[in-house]
Amino acid sequence: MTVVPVANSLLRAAVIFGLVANSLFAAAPAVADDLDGIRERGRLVVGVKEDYAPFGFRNPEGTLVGYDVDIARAFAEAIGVPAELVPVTSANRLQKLRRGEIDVVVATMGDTRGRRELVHMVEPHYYGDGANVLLPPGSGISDWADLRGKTLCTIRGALWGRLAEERLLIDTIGFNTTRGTALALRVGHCVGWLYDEVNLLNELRSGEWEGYEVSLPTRFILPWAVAIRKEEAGSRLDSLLGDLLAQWHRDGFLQGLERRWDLPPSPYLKRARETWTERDETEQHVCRRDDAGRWPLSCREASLVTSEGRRDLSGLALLLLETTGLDASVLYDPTDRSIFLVGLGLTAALSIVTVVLSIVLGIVFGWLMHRRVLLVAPLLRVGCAVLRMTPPLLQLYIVFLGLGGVVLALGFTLDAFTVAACVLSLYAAAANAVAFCHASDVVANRKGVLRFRSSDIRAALALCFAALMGNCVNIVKATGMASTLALPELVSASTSIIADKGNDGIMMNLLLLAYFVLVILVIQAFRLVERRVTAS
Amino acid sequence: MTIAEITKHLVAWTPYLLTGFWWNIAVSLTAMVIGTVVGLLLAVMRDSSVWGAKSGGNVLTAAMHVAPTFVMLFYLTYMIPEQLEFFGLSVHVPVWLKASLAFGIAVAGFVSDNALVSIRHFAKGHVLEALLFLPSWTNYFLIIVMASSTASVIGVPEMVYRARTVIGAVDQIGFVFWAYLYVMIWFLVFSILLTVIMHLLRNRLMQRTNGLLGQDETDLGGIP
Repeated sequence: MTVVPVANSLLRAAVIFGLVANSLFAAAPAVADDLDGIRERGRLVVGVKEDYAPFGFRNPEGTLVGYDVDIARAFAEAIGVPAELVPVTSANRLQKLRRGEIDVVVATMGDTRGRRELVHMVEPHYYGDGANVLLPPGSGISDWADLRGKTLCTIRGALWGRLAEERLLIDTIGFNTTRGTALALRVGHCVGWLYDEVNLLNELRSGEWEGYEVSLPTRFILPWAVAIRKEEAGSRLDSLLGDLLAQWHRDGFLQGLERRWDLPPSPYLKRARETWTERDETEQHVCRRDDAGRWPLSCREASLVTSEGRRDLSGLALLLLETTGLDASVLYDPTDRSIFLVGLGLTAALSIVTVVLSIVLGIVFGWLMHRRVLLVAPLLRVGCAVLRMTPPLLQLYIVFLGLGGVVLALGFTLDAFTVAACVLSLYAAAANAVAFCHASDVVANRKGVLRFRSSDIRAALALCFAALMGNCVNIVKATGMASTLALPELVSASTSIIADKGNDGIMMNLLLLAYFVLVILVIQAFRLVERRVTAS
Repeated sequence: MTIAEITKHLVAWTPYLLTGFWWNIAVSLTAMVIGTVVGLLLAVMRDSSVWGAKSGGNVLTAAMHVAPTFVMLFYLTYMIPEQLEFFGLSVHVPVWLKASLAFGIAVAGFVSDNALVSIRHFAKGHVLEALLFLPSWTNYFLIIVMASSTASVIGVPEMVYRARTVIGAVDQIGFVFWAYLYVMIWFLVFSILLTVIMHLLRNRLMQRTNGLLGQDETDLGGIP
């Protein structure tokens, strides 16, 4: 095998490249420390929104208030100076910061890799919002996958519309105003309204949407960050603000602000509080800074972590992302990795169970058909014909959704894996049975009679081996259909990672590669067995 | 739900569902056309004595046998942009065409193998044996029609996709089973009709060859 040395030397070259790149970046000018400057000046200048209620807006007296404003004031208080608030817009907040007109930005700003090129984002994040869908009563939609191929109303130009089309294969129609979108949903131009989750929850509380619901899991979560100048990364100001935010997640200050400004409870803040209050066996916080002042990887947003200072496989994957834009998130993001590995495991398990079961059932059914057992044989013949002449996808739906409803009424639930394994096995068993029955007929003709004993079965198996192998390879290739039963197998895993990361190129190739390997392994396994069957 | 209610709903929605079945057939036929053209090319490559063409044809055919159509549906949907740019010309790629391409890959693998056999028969002057390619081709068309139901997962409005819409519109838990069963029966009727036609065609070919060719059962080896 020459692959391993080549891979090793590539790895080594990449690590060296990473080290050089790191030392280049480290050669930046000494970190400027603004904290003393701010204290000398006697005020902290913070950029906030003035048109985005309830985060940054003007009250009837004309004073700037809101969730972001409270955070800005609390920062200033901790430094020991008053806050000077400067209104900013989405268009000018980064420029004002970079030019030094303001010290800190707290202005509903989503943290993205693109913006990280321009400014330094203080971690942890102070809020997070994502997309959700307002659904009419009885829509029957319980998952984002149910929306595939359907049309959602959205506001023109909103980020979510494009993401939904590219990553979730959902169609969208854009309207200019919030009212227009709401009306379009009411008259049925679309099956739901895709928008910022916070805004949709606010709409629900308005009382105008009787019976409507916002029930899907939040998608495209975009954490909001406090930003400072890029040169101040790692400065005393950076760690002070970061420590404050971590403290506020722990003591519930941020969730208190949420209640104060009458925001609907954000799943993001709830999850962040769980993360930042978690303690290890020594009763210390799991999320605490290391010697270099960095937060542990598990406490940060995996999608925003950079390769800086990381020399393992995940560091390489991040370096790849930063230099080429290729996002191999399964290598650096523990969540994505476990989703993918679970998917791989489920698909492999489903393949093995289905192949074994379809051969065993195929032999039994084929034997009964060959012996023309009274009543059973004709029944099996009809059953096999029906199974082979209808789409397996429909068979899955009928059992899981159709019979599932009946079974549910009796107090049981059907497990997706069991249903998929049974239906797919039966489907392949039908084809196997017909092939085995033919082979048995041929062997019986040759030998006079065929007995149910190992040597005769082997002779029949050897005769129909190619057909059985073909059927089994096809059923392994069809295991992806179990994704339609919401089983988190490989296809579901890949599409859900794409939905969050947008790395469709990498994930689709990885998915196809995994299936190629799986199919080739199955073929190899059959060849191994074939040798043993035909040997005797 | 009573049987009368179920029947009423099913009858009312039948035209809508059957329009979806045309999509199944259209997607499958397009896949057969694409796959047959590509498969014939591959077969010609494999039959040639040129070394590169021969091995290239073999490798491509093997890859097409391994690629799962269900995964290819997603692969092509994500990898082919909705608008393709050709020399400044923008072409819209509809989702049903992506489905046809996915199934077309499997068809090409099949045609490559079977056409190769036919080409060799033809070269020896065994025209009728070469024609046996036709019933197998029809057989494979049937398999692709069964597979075309999976195009519903990427949003092609074929019959299974429409069944979901109908179930949503009727919105009664007891109706789900009957709706899917009803759609399944349409697939079954179509399969039986096509199989009967196929048998007739095959039998005529058999008579013409004076029983030289062994009778073998039509083989539905599962969707690729």
